[in-house]
Amino acid sequence: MDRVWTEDNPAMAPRIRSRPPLPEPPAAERYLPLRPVVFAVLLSLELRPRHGYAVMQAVNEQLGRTALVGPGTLYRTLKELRDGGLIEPAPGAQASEDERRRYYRPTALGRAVARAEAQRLAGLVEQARRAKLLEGT
Amino acid sequence: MRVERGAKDGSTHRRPVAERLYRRLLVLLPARFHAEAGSEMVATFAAQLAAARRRGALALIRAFFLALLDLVLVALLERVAPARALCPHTAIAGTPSRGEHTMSRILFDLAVAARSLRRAPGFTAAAVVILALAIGANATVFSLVEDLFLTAPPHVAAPQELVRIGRTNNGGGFGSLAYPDYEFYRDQGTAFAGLLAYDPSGVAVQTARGEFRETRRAWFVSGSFFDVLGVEPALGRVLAADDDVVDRARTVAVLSHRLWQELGSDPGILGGAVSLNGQPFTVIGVAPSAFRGISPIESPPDLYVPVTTQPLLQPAGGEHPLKRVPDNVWVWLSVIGRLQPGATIDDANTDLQRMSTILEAEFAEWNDGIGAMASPSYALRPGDRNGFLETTRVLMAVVAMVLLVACANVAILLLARGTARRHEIGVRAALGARGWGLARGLLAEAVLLAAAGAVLGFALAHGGARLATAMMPYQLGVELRPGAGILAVSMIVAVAAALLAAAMPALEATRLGGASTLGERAVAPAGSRAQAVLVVAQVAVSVALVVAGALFVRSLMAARAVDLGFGVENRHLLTVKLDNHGYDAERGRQLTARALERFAALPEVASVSATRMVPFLGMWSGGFVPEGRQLVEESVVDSGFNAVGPGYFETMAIPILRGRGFDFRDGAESDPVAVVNEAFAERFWPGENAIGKRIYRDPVEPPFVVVGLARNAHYYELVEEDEPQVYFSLLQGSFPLVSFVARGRDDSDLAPQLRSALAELDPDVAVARATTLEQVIGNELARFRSAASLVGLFAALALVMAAAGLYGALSYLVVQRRREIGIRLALGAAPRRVGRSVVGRAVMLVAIGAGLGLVAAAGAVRWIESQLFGIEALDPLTFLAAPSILLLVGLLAALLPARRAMSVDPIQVMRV
Repeated sequence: MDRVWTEDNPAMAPRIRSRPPLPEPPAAERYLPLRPVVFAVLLSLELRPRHGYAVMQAVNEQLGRTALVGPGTLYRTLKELRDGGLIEPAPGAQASEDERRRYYRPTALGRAVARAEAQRLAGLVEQARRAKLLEGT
Repeated sequence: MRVERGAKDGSTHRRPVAERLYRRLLVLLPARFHAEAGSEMVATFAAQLAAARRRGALALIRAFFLALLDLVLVALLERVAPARALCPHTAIAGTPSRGEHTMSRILFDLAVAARSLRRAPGFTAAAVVILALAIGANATVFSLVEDLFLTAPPHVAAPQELVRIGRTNNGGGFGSLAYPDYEFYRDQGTAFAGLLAYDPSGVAVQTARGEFRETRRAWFVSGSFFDVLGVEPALGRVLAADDDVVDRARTVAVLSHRLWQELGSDPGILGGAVSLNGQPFTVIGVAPSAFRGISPIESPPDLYVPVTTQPLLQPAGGEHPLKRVPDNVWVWLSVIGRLQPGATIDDANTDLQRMSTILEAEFAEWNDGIGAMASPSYALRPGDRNGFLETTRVLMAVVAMVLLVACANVAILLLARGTARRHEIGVRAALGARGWGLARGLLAEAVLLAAAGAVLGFALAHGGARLATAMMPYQLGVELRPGAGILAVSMIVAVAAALLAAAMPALEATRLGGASTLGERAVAPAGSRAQAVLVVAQVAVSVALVVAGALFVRSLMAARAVDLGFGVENRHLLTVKLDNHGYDAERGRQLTARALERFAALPEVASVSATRMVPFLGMWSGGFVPEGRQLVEESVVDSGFNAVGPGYFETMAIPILRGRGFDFRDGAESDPVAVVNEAFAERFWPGENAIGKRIYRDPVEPPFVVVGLARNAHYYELVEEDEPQVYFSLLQGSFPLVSFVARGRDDSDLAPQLRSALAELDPDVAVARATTLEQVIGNELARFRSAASLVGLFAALALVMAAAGLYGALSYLVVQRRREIGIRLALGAAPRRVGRSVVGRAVMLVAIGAGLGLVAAAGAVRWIESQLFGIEALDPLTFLAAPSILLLVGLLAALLPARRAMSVDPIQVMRV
């Protein structure tokens, strides 16, 4: 007898085990540390929904002139964030100026992750201050 | 013109070039990413560009290139590791598979490479520009090849079924067909689903409709033309088989899209009348806008009319064009066939042979020895195709050589960089990096450089294509537009080039990785031998290219220097059709005479005449009986002939050696006269005085009396033996087409004055052509000029690259030997000696390279021999000059490094 799995053969069907419990919604801390670009994008969307170019401007300003995020990198990052459920298209604002422009805003998860990262960074800055790294600057 | 909607304000304007280029380059992205984010990326890019533009040109250029680099990087990343949902940093996803591991390592390598390239902007810029130039040159030639040989003409269905049919004479040649033969093949052929015929030279027609009145070009096409090609009309209907029945031709016309637009893009034009040479034609349809015929070298016409309306539009030909007339046959039609499904080219040829045998038997008077042949090259006649192939092959070889030089150049740069980073590599090796790991870094850098070079090169090719089209020996019917396919090919070429360029430096790195280089500082310069090999290779290829370029340039010079026997400068030509609007022989002559008077009175005109045939645009030849021979058929001799007006020899600056040229007395009322050239007189009346001799064209017509002896001239082409030529008086005959030749007092354009003076005499006369003799001869020279300029350009490019490579290699040599040089100087060596050793090395490398290059060139010149003119392929001067130029350039390149070596400060070097 062939020992091949077939759906028709009950004897050969895989035994059904109890389902594993659904994973908890990922805790924001588990995303840390964030890549600088990712944090910059989330940060830029925190104040108000923005479209791609506005995000790019904000990100490049935050990261300083050297980091230079172009349209390609930006949309790659936006895609990662959207697919991961950290940001979503902002309703309403869509076709206001130009239908090619889509506005984004953070989801609850995205906001939580951004906050966690900010806290982590603030903690680092606190440590740096205690180490007297910030004196004289 | 394609107009796209404006971005914000809704106004219409063309989008900037940069944006259109960016949009096109998005094809680099994987399709899904493109579809999802493409339009948003373009919008973002446009906004970014607009913002940068406000900050000035430099910011604009910077933004543009950064966006391109970003695009290339993301495209690479997306292909090897598409963006995934951002998820928490836990091991939920499991350990990466081996493939993922490799992927991430490649990504890591690329990221490291990108960072390291960004740290060396000078090196990166130099390498990218070098690669871009070479890739741009390649992409340009590829797009030429694509357009000439690979792309199907727009709107033509199933082009693989099409064959071109040519007339053979005793089994040879590939000429145009006669209408009756075409008709027979069309009706009796079994291997063909259909046959079409057209006259690609077209006919100038005076087109009139309402206010619109202009000379336009029409093609005579068979009723089956559009049907066989599978071309659907943009409007109305196309010609049908029953439109072109002989003697019952329908006076209908299909407009080109362009002409339709000029007439106001009015759909109501269908069924309306348009006047062609005074004959009313009904507009039945409009051809699609992108349709440009079948061949890339035939310029598409303004309108299409049934081939059987030829006698109506060009009555001078009588019945000849469409029927078998005793003693005569007009061969004037290009014929294309569509094979039956399943039929092969061999079936077609068998079928054609069967039919031509029947024709030969039935119409022996016309078809003896005549056959037909099918060629799979439907777009170009086999002869044209071979010419193109030859030119293209040379061009492809040349750009491939340029690419090789560029590769060597980038390799030298990479090597130099590798050597400069020797210490870093040593540290990494000491920390456990293996040779392969080190090499991989270099390869990643090369790939990134290549990708950026390809993108920039593609952009260059857009400009280059325009340049190449202008330089091609043939007028192309279309504008070359390198597309996604060319970009893909460029990418492949670029990556191959990069790997080639990186191979030697990578090998060097693996070698370095094995040895400990931490402690050594004054060892023999690593990589210098590899650099030397590369410099030699570069010089060799450059020498070969310079030889080729010089040969082509000297061919052009030789062709230009040919004494044509007539004056070319400031001769303006206005060709006029005199066979419509009720012109007969007498009225045509009157108009010619009046126009000559009118033109002569123009203040800008120094002298003016007229001629039936224009040199280099086709000449007549025919049979004559010169005096002294019996008036029987065996006495007939062949000679070129032409009919020219009063003052022709003066206007053309052809010296009359004896007797006189023509004047206004040589009209219809006076006795027929002729002027012969020296070759005619010497061949048929050797040692005798030609003046007063008689020439017979026909036993019953009165003979022509020779009144003048003219110096020999060229009539057909640049290379020509002295051929006998007879000139008759234009005013003693009647001709459907006459070209006025006006010599201007300076080089200003006379065409507008000539046109308006003619229009004052008769506004309905069609001007078939307005040009200058310089242009006519220029077209003849175009072949040499395009070869000289293209190959010369590429040779210059290779020369510059070779110089840069040599300079780079020597500079690094000096940097590496600084310590050694310092020690020498400290020990008392004369600085001049140190400098001389650097120059000596340059001379040695160039000498070896040049020697190899000359040997290679001597072997390779036979490939271009057939395209040279007036110069030996192994021209000693060229073969001496090319290495001399290289040597000179090499010395210049060595100058700066040598000075630098001489100015090494021993104290500074030793202090370390």
